[in-house]
Amino acid sequence: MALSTILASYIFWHYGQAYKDLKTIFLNLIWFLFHFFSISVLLKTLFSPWKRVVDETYKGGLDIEGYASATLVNIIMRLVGFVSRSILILAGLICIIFILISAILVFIAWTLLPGLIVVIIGYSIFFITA
Amino acid sequence: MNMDNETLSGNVRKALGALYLDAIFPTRIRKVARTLVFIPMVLLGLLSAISYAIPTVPFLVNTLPETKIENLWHVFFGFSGLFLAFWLVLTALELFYLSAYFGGMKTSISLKEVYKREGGVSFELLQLYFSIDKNDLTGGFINSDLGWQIIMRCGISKEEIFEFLSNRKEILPASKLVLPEVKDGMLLPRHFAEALIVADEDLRNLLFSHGISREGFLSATEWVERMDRAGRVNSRWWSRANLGLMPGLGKDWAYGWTYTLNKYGTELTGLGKSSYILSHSVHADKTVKQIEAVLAKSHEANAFVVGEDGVGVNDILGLLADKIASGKVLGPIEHKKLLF
Repeated sequence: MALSTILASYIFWHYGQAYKDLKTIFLNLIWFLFHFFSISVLLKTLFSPWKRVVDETYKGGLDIEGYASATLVNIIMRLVGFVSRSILILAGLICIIFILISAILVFIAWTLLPGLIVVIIGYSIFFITA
Repeated sequence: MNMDNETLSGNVRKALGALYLDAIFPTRIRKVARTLVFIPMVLLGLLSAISYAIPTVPFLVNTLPETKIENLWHVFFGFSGLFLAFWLVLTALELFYLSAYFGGMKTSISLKEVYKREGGVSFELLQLYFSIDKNDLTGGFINSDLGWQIIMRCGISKEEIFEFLSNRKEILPASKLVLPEVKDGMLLPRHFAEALIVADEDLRNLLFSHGISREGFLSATEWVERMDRAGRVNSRWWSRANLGLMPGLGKDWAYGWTYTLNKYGTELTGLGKSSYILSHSVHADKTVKQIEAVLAKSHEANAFVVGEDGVGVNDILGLLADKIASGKVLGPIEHKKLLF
């Protein structure tokens, strides 16, 4: 009685509620990757100077050398910021794509799981006795 | 059968599979079994890979003493596969149980959110009601894991409990159960305990003889169920509440270095200097959470920490600094520095 109840409830859950649960877990993982790689923050500050390092020595007026030097330093710092942020955003996007592909594979494997377990056991016995 | 008994029995029927699973194959044993299956699965898999690789790597062929291990790779592989199959079965069963326990793998933000599911009955109460003798609710409650912990928390000895159970004047059956009305949230073990204490005079007398009031007993119940659930909620690594605690990368790239502030002040963030006792104090934790909430506001984010010398005001700040350093703080103060 107990075992048949467990089995019936399990199968009902496996091909019903479990898909919603897996979807929730994967959505949480994607949300986490957005948070972990700070994608929204990095996109908002994509062109900001690296660690706010800017040349503040140029105070205006006709100082072409000072102006050029400050502009160059600021452009370089913004470039450094842009490149480092882009790399991190790219890494985050790669991880998200990886999770999306994994999700598809997990959904397929989950559907086939009961059969998959039987196949694994069969192959395992075959390998042991080979 | 009265309405409350029917409500609980109806909910028990809905979760019967998971309840039977936990009764036959309890959580602790499932956890141990999964570990015991996982370790040989990985070790045999590695052994299989190594023994398969030996004949293909000339260096290994020349250096390793002659054994027949390379001929056994398929045996290791087969056993690893068998363990994998068992592990998959155990994992699927665990997910089934967790789904029933949490009412689906919902994204719950906090423990409070978990408790606030309207109109439902908590899985702990269903487990309790499923396992106890319906003809003796008090006896069943006390003999359950949860009930036993509550009684121990109340400071009543085993001998006194055994004496109480054998010398009761009246036994409370399920048909006399009247649960309190719950306006928001779900029915919890504490509501069941409340119903028992209202209906069972012997239990009331026992608690009264130990100086335990109704409120004291209910507080002990609440404490035990909160501890039990907090542990389970923390084990939900996939929840946003737990995943969100991991500090993000690159969030401080938009902030500059603080030369002047660092020159005249001492940075507390990252020092890890808060005292051990304080970091495990519920009161200190509450104060830090209050400061955190105030500092996370977008306007008027100022906090005054006032206290006599030696009461540990600096330690409170140290604790907050540690929390910031570990990234386990509210979003607006993440990556901020604390200077003293």
